[in-house]
Amino acid sequence: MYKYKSIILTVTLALSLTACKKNFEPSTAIDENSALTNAADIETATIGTYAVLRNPSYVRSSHFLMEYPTDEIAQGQNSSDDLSRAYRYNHITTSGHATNFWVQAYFVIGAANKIIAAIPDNSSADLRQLKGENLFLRAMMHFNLVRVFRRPYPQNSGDNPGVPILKEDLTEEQKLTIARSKVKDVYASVIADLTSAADMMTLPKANPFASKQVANALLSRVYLYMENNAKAIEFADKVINSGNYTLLSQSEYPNYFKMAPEGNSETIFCIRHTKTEDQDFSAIGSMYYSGDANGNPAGQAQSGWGEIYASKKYYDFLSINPTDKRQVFLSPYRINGVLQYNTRLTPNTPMYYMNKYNLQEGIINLSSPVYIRLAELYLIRAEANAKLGNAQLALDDVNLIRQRAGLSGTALHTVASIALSSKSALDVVLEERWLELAFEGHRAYDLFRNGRSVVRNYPGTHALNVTPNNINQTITAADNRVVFFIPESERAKNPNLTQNP
Amino acid sequence: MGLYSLSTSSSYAGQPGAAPSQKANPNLTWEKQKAINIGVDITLLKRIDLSIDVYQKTAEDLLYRKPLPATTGYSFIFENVGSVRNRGIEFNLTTKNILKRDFTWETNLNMSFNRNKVLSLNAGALYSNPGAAQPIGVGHDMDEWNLPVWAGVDPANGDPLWEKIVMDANGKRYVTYTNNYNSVANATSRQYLGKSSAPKFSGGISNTVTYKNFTLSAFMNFVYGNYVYNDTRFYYDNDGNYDSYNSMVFPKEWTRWQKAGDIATHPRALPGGNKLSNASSSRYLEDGSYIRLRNITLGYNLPANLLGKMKISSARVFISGDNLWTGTNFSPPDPEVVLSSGVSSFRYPTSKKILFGLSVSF
Repeated sequence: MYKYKSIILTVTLALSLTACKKNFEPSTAIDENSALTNAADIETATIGTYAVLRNPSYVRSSHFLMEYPTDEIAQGQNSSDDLSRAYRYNHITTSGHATNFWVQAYFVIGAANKIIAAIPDNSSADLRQLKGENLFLRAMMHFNLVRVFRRPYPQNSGDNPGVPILKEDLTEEQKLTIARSKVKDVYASVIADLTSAADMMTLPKANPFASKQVANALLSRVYLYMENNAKAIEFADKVINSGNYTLLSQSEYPNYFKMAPEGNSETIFCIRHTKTEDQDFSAIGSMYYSGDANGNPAGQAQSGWGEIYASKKYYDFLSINPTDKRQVFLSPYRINGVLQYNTRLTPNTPMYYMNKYNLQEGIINLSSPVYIRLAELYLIRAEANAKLGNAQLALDDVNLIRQRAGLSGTALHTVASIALSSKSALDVVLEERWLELAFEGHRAYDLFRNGRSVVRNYPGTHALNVTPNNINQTITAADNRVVFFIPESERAKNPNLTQNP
Repeated sequence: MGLYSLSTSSSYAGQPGAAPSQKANPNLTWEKQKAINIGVDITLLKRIDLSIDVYQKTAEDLLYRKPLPATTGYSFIFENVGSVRNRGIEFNLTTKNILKRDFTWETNLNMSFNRNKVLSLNAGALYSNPGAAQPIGVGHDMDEWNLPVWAGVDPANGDPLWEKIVMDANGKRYVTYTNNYNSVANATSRQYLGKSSAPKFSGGISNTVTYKNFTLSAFMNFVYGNYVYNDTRFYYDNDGNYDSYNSMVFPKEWTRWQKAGDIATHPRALPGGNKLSNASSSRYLEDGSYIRLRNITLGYNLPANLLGKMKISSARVFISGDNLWTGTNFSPPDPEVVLSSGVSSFRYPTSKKILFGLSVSF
């Protein structure tokens, strides 16, 4: 026993001697003054900026805010998680997910700004590439922030208050007290960043990272949101004609979200999650799917919460054409062929599981959420063309996407056929965007920026908003709750941040 | 110093990365402590032992993780935020009430009282952590709660109500009532409640009585005057919001609004919830005072003459009970919390135990 005591004493002594060093340098951290001094370190720091996107507080919270307000989603039971409020539109100024998203988005911007400031414009191609990637990330964050927290650009021509624009040249005092810029100024800043990012990025990069065409693709989307249709087409063309991307074939398409993203020729930019980064029950996909690794659905809590389903409205719309390949992205939970219902609500909610965020590389809850992909670029071009009166060009792109989904013959649109069903070219483009890009965070914006309403007429917890339950809910583009509240905790620290009505 | 941290959370797509983790503060200095301490130990008649400690500690340049708005790119900065004073008394009293050959009784009582006050904050700031539930404000206890104020239930319709502060043209403040939580969860309407998560006093008392071969001992501890945010009620006392959580059984003084005119403590229950009624407010702030019988033990030492024959030097049988009784006004499940956090969230109730024992030494 005595022997052990002396060993412990020796160890303690050794520890205390080490601790006596005057300047203690932490081993898992680097002094910021030396963190950005050479190309390798700047690359390491850039990886760190991307890594914030993978933080659940960013990727998961932002998914809830962008996706759950749509009419393609049905929440089958009320959850104590703040995500319910995004779905039901009963927002709260202290929303956890809105706060998470705001905070992480500005962390990305803050980290990107340090690198942007550290690289002169006349640096080597390697460094300019990295500067461009950080400019892209800064632009992407500002764009997402203004989408979530402020009204669509076409309303009041962008003259509404937007979000703070954070650039690398602000003083510490300015960052503490920064006010909201107008929507149009945020868009102008996003466009300036993306334009210079596209110019600086010259190296080929895999799709978890930004490169020239990634910046061009986002520019195309940003111009579409601003209704600058000519520019939206110009940049969509650049991406489509770059030859860097191809639509997956009909046969590959069902595996879109299952394959490792680097091998996916259609994905332009995604938030990569590797096999060791499975979030399990905390993953986005856990809300949508519960079952085995082969894609066979099972009851709730088998592999995920399975509380959020494709809406009956979306399911029915997708089922109009029985050969539509996009049906594979839904996994209705059936037992012996009988569709199962979540019975917490009256009427009961059909359990149409959705698997766009599951089963990557054979892991049930693993997913690398796609931020932008080639199919969207075709549909951006189609929408812009529809708005410019080029109906045939618009339908050509829509039909391309429909053919890839396995549709043919009368399922394809012609100018004559849409006239017969009293639809405009814009109507069918928006329908196609819904079919193709469902659950990828587009639908609510597609409706609201075009002045259309989110119309729910199916079972879900939104019916709890009124007594007695009423499954019909309509949110017009003019509704205050089209946007989220600015997080109250941020306003407490910076009184210059005004609140949304 | 400003730091970039290397960790698995800063790696991406299989590559290691580094992310800004700590904001530099070149003006940071050591926290300075000024302490005055007077201690007295008294022994009277060989029966009473009393030790008293009186102290005042003033921390200047208090080192604190001051939260920052996200637009700075960081969540906090280490800063010398201001000065804070702690004053208190601690005492420990032991009395030997009865000292006879076959009969003894000893009592020990210890208590500590502490008062905390934020004396000043740098740059004339009113709060060091504005918007927090415990924001560190000048003139207040560091742990004092600052929340939207729950104003009960509207008798007319069963809606939840909160106090909303409005100012007239002359800057005079008025309290109004609203059922719109989003209009009160802000700097204007959050209010200091004069309630802190730090107790006014805490302590323990133990008694030991021996009579012949019997020993009876009891130990109680108590905490008084602290307020605990009962976060568990967000889930179990939610006016119909969540069907996944069982509703708590109401203590008898709680009532549910049923019809117009009801004066009730709890809003009308609606499937899907009643107007954010379970959002953070003084509704779930409760008096965390309690007194608990930690342990009571009755023992009997077997007589030596009986043991000698069995070559046993001593043997004792006892029955002991832990946490058998608690006095508190705190709603279930349990008033005990980590006092520094002041929040009770899904705390597993302290278990009651009864133990029968026999200890033998040879």
